[in-house]
Amino acid sequence: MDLGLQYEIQRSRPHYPGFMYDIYHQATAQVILADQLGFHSVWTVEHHFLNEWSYSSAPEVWYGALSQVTRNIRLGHGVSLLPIPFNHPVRVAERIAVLDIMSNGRVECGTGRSITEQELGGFNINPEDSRPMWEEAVAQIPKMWTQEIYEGFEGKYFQIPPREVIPKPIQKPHPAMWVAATQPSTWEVAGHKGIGALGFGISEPGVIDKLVATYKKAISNCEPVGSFVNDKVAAATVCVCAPTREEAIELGKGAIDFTTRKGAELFTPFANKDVKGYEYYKKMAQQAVAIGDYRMSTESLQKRIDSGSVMVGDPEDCLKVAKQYQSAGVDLLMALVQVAALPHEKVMQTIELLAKHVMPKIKNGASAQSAAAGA
Amino acid sequence: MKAGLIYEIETIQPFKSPSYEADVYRETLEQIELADRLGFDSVWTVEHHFLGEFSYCSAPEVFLGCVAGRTKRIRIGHGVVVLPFNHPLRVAERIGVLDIVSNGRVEFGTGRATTMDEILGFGMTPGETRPRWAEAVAMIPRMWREDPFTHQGKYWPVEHPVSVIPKPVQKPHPPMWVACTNPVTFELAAQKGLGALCFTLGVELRDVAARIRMYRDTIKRAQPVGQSINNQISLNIMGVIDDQPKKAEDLARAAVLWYVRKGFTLVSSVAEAKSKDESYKYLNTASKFDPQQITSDYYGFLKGDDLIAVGAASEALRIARRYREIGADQVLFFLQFGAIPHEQIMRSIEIIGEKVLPEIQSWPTPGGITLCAPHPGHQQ
Repeated sequence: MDLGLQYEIQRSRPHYPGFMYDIYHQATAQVILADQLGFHSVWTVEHHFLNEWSYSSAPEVWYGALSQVTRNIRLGHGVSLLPIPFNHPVRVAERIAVLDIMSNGRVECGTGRSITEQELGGFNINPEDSRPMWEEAVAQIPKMWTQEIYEGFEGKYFQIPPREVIPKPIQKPHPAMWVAATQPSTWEVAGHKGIGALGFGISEPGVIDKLVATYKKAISNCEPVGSFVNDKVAAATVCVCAPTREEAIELGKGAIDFTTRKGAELFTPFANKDVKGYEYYKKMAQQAVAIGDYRMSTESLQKRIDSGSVMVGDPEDCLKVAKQYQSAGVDLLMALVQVAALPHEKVMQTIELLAKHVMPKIKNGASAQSAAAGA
Repeated sequence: MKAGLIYEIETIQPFKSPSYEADVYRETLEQIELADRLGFDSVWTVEHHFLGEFSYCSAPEVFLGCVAGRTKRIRIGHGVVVLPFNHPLRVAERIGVLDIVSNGRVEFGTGRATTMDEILGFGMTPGETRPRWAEAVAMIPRMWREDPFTHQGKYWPVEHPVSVIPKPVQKPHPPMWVACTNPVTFELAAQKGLGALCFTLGVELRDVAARIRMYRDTIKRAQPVGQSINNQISLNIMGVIDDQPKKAEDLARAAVLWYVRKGFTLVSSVAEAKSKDESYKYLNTASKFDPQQITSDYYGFLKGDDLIAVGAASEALRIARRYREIGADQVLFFLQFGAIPHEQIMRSIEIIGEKVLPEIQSWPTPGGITLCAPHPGHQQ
């Protein structure tokens, strides 16, 4: 299994003037360290308007800068939102290609459709259109990369005459494609389309076995949208690693509190609505509303660490959780290390400890290569 | 006066290697690093789509992010973001992130597209590009000062209140500009308090001078869209500079003619569709040249009328001085065009940086940026 980082570019309140600048420059320093320590990849969301939760509204720009201050780490869009009001599919194809050139072929192209009403509403997207919009775009983008003159498309959501979409990515046949998978039906869709599944919102490793099985079954009989099948599963999880479990609990309480509470809050607009394609989020939101209070006590977090359901603790605790993901068939574990208001030095500490104590023990030769590089 | 570089990211057939796209990107970054070391004030890149050979710069937001990561001092300009093709919320976000990662070095140029390949490619008509630009250019600075932000408009209504984050680090916001070729756009630029990035290659200097005078006069009564008035004129200087003027001349002639032919061919596509839209009528001037008729005489005209700088350092300085005389605040050297080789472009940058830049940068200029309150007409 490979080890990567996942970024929201997050900062919980209280805020201070200049914090947005600080978190970007701190995240950059963290990725530079991760690159030096041999992390496989860094993945970054695209979220809009979600104060506290994510300041990463233009990952394409940050990735340009990152490509110049790192050498080996792969740069994953986790994810690019494909419904057209967010990003025209041509613009996504162009950006991925430029980034692929500038990074010497280190790009992973994750895609998605957005899961919050704030974002869909802000861009005037009917939530019921988001998946069909994604489906149109995800099938066209690989053609824009591989056809010298892209043949054009007459879809429901976008139409384009034949055009020379340039430049082309340097990874051949094209960068690996993925999709953000939260609800079980998306894992199946990922498999059917022959693209990697980026598992988000997985609260504990036990949940993933079934999702991986669903994905593997679907991909065994897929109709790939790209020029190759990217049979890969990734999973994201919050991670706080410290020399002692006590310190990790002290840091992790706030981090787990915030990500659980705020994450649930983002879906609550769906709690009382029936929106096609978002039924799963309605269920999640209702559960979240029912739980209400997320405050994590030392005891409850201790208990979750003991059961291996959260990647918080000393290096041994974190390794135990990582191995569970590995045995569930996950190819890449993406650690969310910059969460809530964790101080920069503590995030750097997590990255260092993971590199030293976890990475060497979960590496296996088979999954170390990127899918695209071997294709 | 300020001096910078401007790029199409251009490479032409016959391509020297199968990796010509990656090559030109790598070379461009190398040229910009040199310019950063030599003290050039800024570097600007276009946004063009589908225009093989002419421009591979289809995602300047990514490339300029790279420039931010690779350079220390040089300012980073969008020359320009094509507003009709990009949701204004996304543009405001990108400028915010670029300003953060570059430590406040962003210059925000805007425009509306000038080729049919692009306009039709994005499913638009020539008639809607200017109103789309006008709506977006007033929205974006509001996103930086109003939080939550809503907008009632024709093209990009934002009914749900949103918080556009992150905010740029330059206060009140990065300087704003618009690409100007025809007189109407110069007037619009001045009315809205925007700097004028002149793309006036082939327009005689006395005509450019008249447009600049009109701009300076109009901007006194500006109704600014942002919180600053960017009263600045930027002119491009296409050129090849070498210690041996003959060598520069030999290289420049074919490259200039290639660029002008290609450029006119591309924009004349809109002029041909002009009947539907008055605002592109000015391109008739361009299209009256049959691109095939652009011969050495045309090169002679550009050279003779001081519209290009080909020769030694003294020639670059002379042209910059001419531009200063007609009212420029900034000149952008346009050195990568046609088949001019990378080594020559590096040489041009080196010579300009060492022998021309110090003097240009010592000249006072008429324009500048002043803070202001946005005009109430642009509030909601």
